[in-house]
Amino acid sequence: MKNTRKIMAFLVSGLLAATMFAGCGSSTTSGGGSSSPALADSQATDSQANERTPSGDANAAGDALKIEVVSKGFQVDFWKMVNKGCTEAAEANGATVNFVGPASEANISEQIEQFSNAINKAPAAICFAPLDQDASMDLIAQAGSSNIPLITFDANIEADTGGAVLAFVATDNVAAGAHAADKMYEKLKDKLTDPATTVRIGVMAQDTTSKSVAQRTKGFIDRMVELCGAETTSVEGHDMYNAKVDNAKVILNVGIPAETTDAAGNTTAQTLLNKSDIIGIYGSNEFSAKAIVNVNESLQKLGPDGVCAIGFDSGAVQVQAVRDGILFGSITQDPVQIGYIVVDTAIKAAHGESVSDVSVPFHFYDASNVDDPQIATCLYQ
Amino acid sequence: MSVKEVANAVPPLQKKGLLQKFGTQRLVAIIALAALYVFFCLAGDNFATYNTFVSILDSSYYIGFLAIGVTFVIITGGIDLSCGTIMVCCALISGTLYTKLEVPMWLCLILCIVMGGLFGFCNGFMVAVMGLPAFIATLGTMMVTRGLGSIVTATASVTYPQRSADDGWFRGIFKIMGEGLPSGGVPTGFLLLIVLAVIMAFVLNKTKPGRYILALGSNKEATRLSGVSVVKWEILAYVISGLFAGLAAISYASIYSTILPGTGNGFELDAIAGTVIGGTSLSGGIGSVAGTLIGVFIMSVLKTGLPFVGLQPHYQLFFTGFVLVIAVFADVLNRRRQKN
Repeated sequence: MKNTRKIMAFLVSGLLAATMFAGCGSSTTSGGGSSSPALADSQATDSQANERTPSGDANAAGDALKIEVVSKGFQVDFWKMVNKGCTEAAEANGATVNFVGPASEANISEQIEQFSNAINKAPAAICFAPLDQDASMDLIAQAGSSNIPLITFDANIEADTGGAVLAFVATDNVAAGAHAADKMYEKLKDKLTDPATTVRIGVMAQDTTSKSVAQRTKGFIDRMVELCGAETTSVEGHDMYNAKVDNAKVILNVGIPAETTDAAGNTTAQTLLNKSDIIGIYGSNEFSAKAIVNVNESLQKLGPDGVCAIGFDSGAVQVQAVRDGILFGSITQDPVQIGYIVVDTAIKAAHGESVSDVSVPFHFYDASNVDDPQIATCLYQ
Repeated sequence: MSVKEVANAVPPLQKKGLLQKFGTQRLVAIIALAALYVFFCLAGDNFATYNTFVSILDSSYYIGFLAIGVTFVIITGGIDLSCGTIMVCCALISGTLYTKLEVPMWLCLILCIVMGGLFGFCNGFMVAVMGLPAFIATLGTMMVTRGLGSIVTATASVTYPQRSADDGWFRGIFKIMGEGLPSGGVPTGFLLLIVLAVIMAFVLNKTKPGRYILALGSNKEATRLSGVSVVKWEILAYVISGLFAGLAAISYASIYSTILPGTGNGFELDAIAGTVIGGTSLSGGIGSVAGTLIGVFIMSVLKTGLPFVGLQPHYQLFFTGFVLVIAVFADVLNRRRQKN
């Protein structure tokens, strides 16, 4: 029996090895042109809002181009709308899209495995929204040396990728965060200019690892410090953003939950909203905005005469809160547009055309314009 | 009668009948692995490539190491629910030592493994000396290490240096990438995994500690009555699990670079599933390191192969659940047949 087992084990290992080597010999890159286009200069070009034009016809041979899209998952509905845009672009160009993402935005290893699978499938191009830059570097190098066109979206890779990443498609998150600060300052100017006692503005971020969230948070904090005056504004609450100033009149209190779950998010939002001197609160993505709205149900502090709250993105809870005036307003990205442009760019790159970064516009919406056609197409339930 | 003779005398009564059945289950696991792999090669688009093979290996290192460690614990009849979070906690602490306190990388790696062993010792102490049920003791450790990781890093993530950085050499233990090499890299970690598996299989089957661990899992009371210190060997099983969790932490850091605090629980279930699929019995006394590796590879092949046939990764969980139930049922059938 023992010998039989050993023989079986050897046979099976041999079979595995044989299959592997057979596979090695026949592996070819499938899909259309995969020569590496020259890396264009990184310039942010504004695309027309809501205008979606396809970039080219389907491959003459009739084989649909296969595009792999590795997103950040489906934890928030934002990505469902990105998927919608990706599918629209694929249909318009006669290509097919495989849209995947991890179960939660904390599952970095899951996303890396999905990215690895995408590369191994040798598609015409890959669109990738990295959860973490450092975890992705090895695979980005692999995509580059396999000559698979790679477009990043939503979160940027700041390190040098040696030309592997051809373009970056996203909202200008720093500017979006700054715009939220502008809007909040407009509303709270009286309370923020020379207050008698200290006032507090809550800033909630989903986590410490997502670059897009970090940019929106930092954008807000930096602009608010600029508007209120750097000598009287202190930033506290988390090591990542702390810039303590003694005897400050305005305190920007950062809150980041320990894990990306609704329960932890609610706890963080509650801690911020419970502060007695709070006059404003900002949530830098749907997760944070939703938490703020949820805890307000019992605290009842938000509103036109209460705490001024500004959110980010949309989702059913947030949009309703904006309609009801609970949220002063929110910044929305255009997820369908992001999805459309990123796949469109990927197809262009797969055809060998040169591509460049695209900055997709954002908008501020409140109860007055939430139903405007331009805004409505950006929002999702 | 020498202690050795008694220890050897204790299992044989059960061993004779079981060896056949145990062999069958492992055989089935090997065939299942081969069948799965061949299926994906045929059905999948571009699955049968070198790069995909490397991807399968990449995603199996940390589960593989966790599973080898947990095999020893399950053989004693216990369970280790904390190995996943111990792995993350060790990775976070040693990463923080490197990034914040500038401890040299080689020392951080060694400390990572040592810390794992210490947590394992705590588990072993609670189970063997204090008499806590393994489920509860390791559940407690799981929560403690999960929180500890967040406390030490103040909820920030920890990133290990890139391959190209000065201290990125540790990644070479698991994968070598560079010019002149295939784009997917050379999976040196596979060699490490096999070597360690062979060593641990030897320890389990041919050395005194291993045989005592098998004996105490088979029949703790009889082993204790024959003069063997069950406390010492039970603690050793948990320490082994902890040490391997520390090693798994290094492999995880090598492949994924960034560790997030608050993650890690879930991995132990993957490790336990791999162990059980490979033929180790949850009631203790039977186990094999080779079987564990096969179980782990079955799960990795599923995880990597399903997207190639168009199924999303959540189907992998679905199918693994079925595979697990079938594997344990086969074990239950064996024991029933053996009793009759």
